[in-house]
Amino acid sequence: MTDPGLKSATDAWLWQSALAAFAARDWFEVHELLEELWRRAPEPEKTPLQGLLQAAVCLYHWGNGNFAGARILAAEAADKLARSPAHWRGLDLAGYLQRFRAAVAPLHQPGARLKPLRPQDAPLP
Amino acid sequence: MEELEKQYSPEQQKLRDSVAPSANTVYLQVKSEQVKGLLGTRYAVPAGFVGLLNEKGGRSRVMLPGEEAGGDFTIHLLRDREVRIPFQQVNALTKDGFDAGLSFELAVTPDVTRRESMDSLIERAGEGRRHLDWPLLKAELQPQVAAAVKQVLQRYDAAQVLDAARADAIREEILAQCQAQLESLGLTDGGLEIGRIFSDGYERHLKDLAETGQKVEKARAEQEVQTAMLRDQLGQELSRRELEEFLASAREEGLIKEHERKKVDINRKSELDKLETEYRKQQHSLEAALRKLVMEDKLQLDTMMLEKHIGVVKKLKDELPDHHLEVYINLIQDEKLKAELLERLIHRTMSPEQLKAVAEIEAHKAKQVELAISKPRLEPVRDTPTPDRTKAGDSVQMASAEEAARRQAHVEEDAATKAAHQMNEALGTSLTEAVQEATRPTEETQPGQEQDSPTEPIEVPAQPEPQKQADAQPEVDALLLVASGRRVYAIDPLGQRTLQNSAMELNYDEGRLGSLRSVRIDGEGDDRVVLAGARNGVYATLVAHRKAAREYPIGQGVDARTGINAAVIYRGYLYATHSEFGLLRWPYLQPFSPGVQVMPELIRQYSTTRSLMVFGDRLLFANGPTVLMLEAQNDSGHQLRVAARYKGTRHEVTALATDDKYILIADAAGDVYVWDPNATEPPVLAFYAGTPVSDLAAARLRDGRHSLLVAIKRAVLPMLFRDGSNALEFTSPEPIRACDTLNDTIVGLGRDRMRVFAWRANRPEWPAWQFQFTEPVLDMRLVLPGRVAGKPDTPTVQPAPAPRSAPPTPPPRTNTEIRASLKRPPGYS
Repeated sequence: MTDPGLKSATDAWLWQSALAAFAARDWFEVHELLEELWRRAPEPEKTPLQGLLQAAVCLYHWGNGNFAGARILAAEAADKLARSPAHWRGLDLAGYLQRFRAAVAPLHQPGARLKPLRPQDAPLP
Repeated sequence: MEELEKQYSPEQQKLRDSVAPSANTVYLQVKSEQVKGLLGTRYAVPAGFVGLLNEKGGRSRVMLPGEEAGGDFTIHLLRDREVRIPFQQVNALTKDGFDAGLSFELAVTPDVTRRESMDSLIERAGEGRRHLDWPLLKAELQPQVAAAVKQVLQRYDAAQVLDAARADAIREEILAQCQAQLESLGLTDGGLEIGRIFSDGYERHLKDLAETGQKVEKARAEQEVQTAMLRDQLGQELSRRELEEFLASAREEGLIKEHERKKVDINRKSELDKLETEYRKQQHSLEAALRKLVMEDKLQLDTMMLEKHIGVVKKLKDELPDHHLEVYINLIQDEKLKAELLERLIHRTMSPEQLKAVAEIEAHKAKQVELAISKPRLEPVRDTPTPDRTKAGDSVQMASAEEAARRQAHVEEDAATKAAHQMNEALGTSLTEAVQEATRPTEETQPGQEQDSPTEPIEVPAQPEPQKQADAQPEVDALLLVASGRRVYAIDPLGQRTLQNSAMELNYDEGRLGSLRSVRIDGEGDDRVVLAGARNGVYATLVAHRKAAREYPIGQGVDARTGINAAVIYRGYLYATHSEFGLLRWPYLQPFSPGVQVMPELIRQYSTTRSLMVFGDRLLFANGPTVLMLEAQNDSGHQLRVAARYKGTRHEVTALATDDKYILIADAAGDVYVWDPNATEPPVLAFYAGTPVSDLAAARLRDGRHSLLVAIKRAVLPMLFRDGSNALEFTSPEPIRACDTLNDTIVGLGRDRMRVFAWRANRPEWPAWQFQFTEPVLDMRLVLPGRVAGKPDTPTVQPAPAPRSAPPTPPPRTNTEIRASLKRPPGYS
C-alpha cells in the first residue's frame, strides 16, 4: 500500500510496517513505527498519524488492564482523528473513528466493570 | 399530738362540742350565744390556742390562753402549736423514668404572731366554716404539696431519690416549693419529716439487674468449671504427649543403640572383607607366580624350538642365493608375514639415498592422509572427463554417476599415491626400478628446482603486517556482513580495527525473536533489506533506514532451539529455512504475523533444512540428504511446485553454493558434487575432502576463473578452480568452519566462531587480516560495499574494480611454490 504521499522508501517501509502491525494487533510495534513516521512527517500529516498512534497506545493499555491510561489515550486519539481528513492514505478514518468510539465507549461509562481488551475485539483502521 | 387539759363526758362533750376544740382542731369559731349560761356569756381561751376576739362595735383583740371574754362577742381560736399532717405520694416519676413514692409528715403552725396571717387563715382556711381540723387542712394543701413533690422527684434519678444522703436536699426543696402556699394560708412550716422514699420500678430494675448479674455469674462459674475441666483434659493430653515424647526419645535411644550395634557389625564385616581381600590377593599372587613359572618353562621350550628353527633357516640361507630367498618367501602361506619379509628384503637391497626417498614419500603420504585433501580440478559437468586430459599432478577428475558411487577408488591419485601403487605392483618383479620411479616426482617438488614454472617467485615479507597493508589500501572491495549476538555488523574484512567505525551496525537488542543465527542482504536499490535470521523468526531491516525492523515470527510462543539459517525474498514472500521448522514463509507485506510451513509433508521427512537461496528464479535449499528446487506456479508466487530435486546419497547435505551455471553440493561424507539442474546427467563428484564439509562458497576471481572455497574445519581452506588450475590452500592459524569469497577477498570463520580471518586471493599463505569478536559469529557474508551504503548496486563480479592492492595480481602459484616461499610470522608456527 505505497502511497504517493510517502516521500521516500523509508516512509513507505514504515507505513507498510505500521499497517501490518495493526493487522497483527501488535499495538506496541504500531506505536514504534508510527512514532518514527510521525517524527519524519510534515505538519498536515502529523495529526492523523498521531491519532492512529494514540489509538494503538490506547488499545495497548486496555489490553494490559491499564484502564485509566486507555481512557486518556482514547479521548486524545478520538480528538486527533476527528480533526483528520475523513479519507487519508487510503484509510477511511471517519469510519474508523466511529468504530473506535463505539469500541472505547465502555471505558467512559462510570461504574462499568472493565476487562482487559481481547485482541480480536479491537477495531482496525 | 398535744393532750387537752380538760376531758368531758360524752353528754358534756355534746353540749360543749360546738365550743370545745378537739385534738385535731386547727381553727374554731365560738360565738357568745353558744356559751350563754347562768352567769352570763363568758368564755375562756383554752390552752394551746390564741383567740381573736371581735366585739360588738367592731373592736377586736388577741386573747391569750386563759383570758375570758364576756358579753356579746365572737372569738376565733387558732392553734398556736405545731400540727403534723401525714402525706403519702405514690404517683411521681424520676428523671430516668422510674415510678417513685414518698411518705412524709408536714408540720405546720398557724402564724399567730401577725394579725395579717391570722386573718388569712380565718378567711381562706375557714371559708365560712366554724371548725377546721387537720384533715380538712390536708385536703386544702394536698394539690400544691403533691405538685411540689412531683417536681422535686423529677429532678433526680431513681438511684439519687433512693439515696439517703440526698434526703435532706429533697426535703428542703419540697419545703421551698410549698412555702408560698403555706404563707398564703397563714401558716408557717415547722418542718418536713420524710418517712420513706420508694420506687417499685427501680427496685424491680435493681432486682432484675441483680438476677441478671447472678445469671452471668452463674454462667461464668459454669464456664470456669468447663474451662477447668478442659484444662484438666488438656493437662491430661499434655501428659499423654509428654509420655509419647518420652517413648519416642526412648525409641530413638533404642534406635541409636541399634544403629551403634549395626555400625559395629559393619565395621566387623569390613574388617572381615579386608582380610578376605588380602587373602584373595595373596591367593592371586601365588597363582600368578605359578602361571609365570609355567610360562617360563614354556618359553624356554619355545626358545629352544626357535633356535633350532633359526639354525635350519641359516643353513638354508647359506645354501640359497637372494633370488631364491624371494622365491622361498613367496611360498609362505601367511600373506602378512610374506609382505613383511618382502619389504625387509627390498629395503636390504636399497641404497641409503633410496631409503631416504622412500621415507620422504611415506611422510608425504602421511600428510595427505592427515589433511585428506587431494588437489582436484573442477570442471563443468557436461564436459565428459577423458583420461587424456588428466595431467600429472592433477588429483581427481569429474566422476559420472556410476563413478560417484565408487569415488574412493579415484581420490588418492597424487604422485605419492601413484608411486606407492606402482611400488606395490612392482614388489614381485623389479623392485628397484619401481622405487626409483616412485622417488622421481619427489625430487621434482624440491624447492627452487621446478625449472618450467612460468611464474616469478613471490616475495613474502618476513614479518607480515596485515594491518599496515590495510591502512595503505583504503579502498574497500567487499564488506563483510557479520551476525554476532543480537547485532549485525558490516565491516571492512581487510582493514577493520574496531567495531566502532563499522560501515553498518544493526541492533536487535530490543527485538522479540532472540539472538541471531544468519544474515543476508536482499532486494535492490532503495528496497534493499538486511534479513537477519534469529532463533524464533526473521528481522527485516531497510538498509536505507536501519531502524524500525520488521519482525516475522515463526509463531506465537515459539521458543526454538536452533534458528533461521537463511532467509530470502522471493515473489512477494519472505522464505526462511529453519532446522526445526523446515521451510517457512510470510507474505512480505505482512510482518508481525506467524509464518506458514511450506510443503511440510515433503520437508518433514528429514531432520535438517538449510542453505536457502534463489538460483535462476527458483528457490534452492538443502533438505536432509536431498536438495530441492521450488518454483512459483504463477506470477502471484502463492503456489509452489518442485522444479528439480537432487536425491543425493545417504549423507546429509551440509552446504550449498552456486555459480553462474552450477549448483555445488557438499555432504557430511566430505563429497562435493556439481549439479546442473537443467541437464539430464546426474550430479558429478568433483572433490573428495575426506572429512565433512562445513561450508562452501563459489565466486569468480578477477582473472575470470570460477573458484570454489571448501571449509572442512581444518587449518587449511582449499580453493578449487573450474578450469583445472591447481588448487590454492589458504592457510590459517586455526581450523576454518565457514567461508566466503568475493572480489578476490576470502574470509574464513575460526573454529570457536570468535575469530574471522581474511586473505587476498594472491596471498594464500597467511591471513592478511584477522578480527576477534567478543560474541560468537553465527554467520557471515561478503557483500559489495554498495549493497550496504546508499549507493546503487554494482555488478557482482565483472567488470572488476581497480584492485586496491598496489602490486599487480600475480599469476596463480602451485602449492609447492607457496610452501617454498612461506615464512610464517612469529607465534603462528
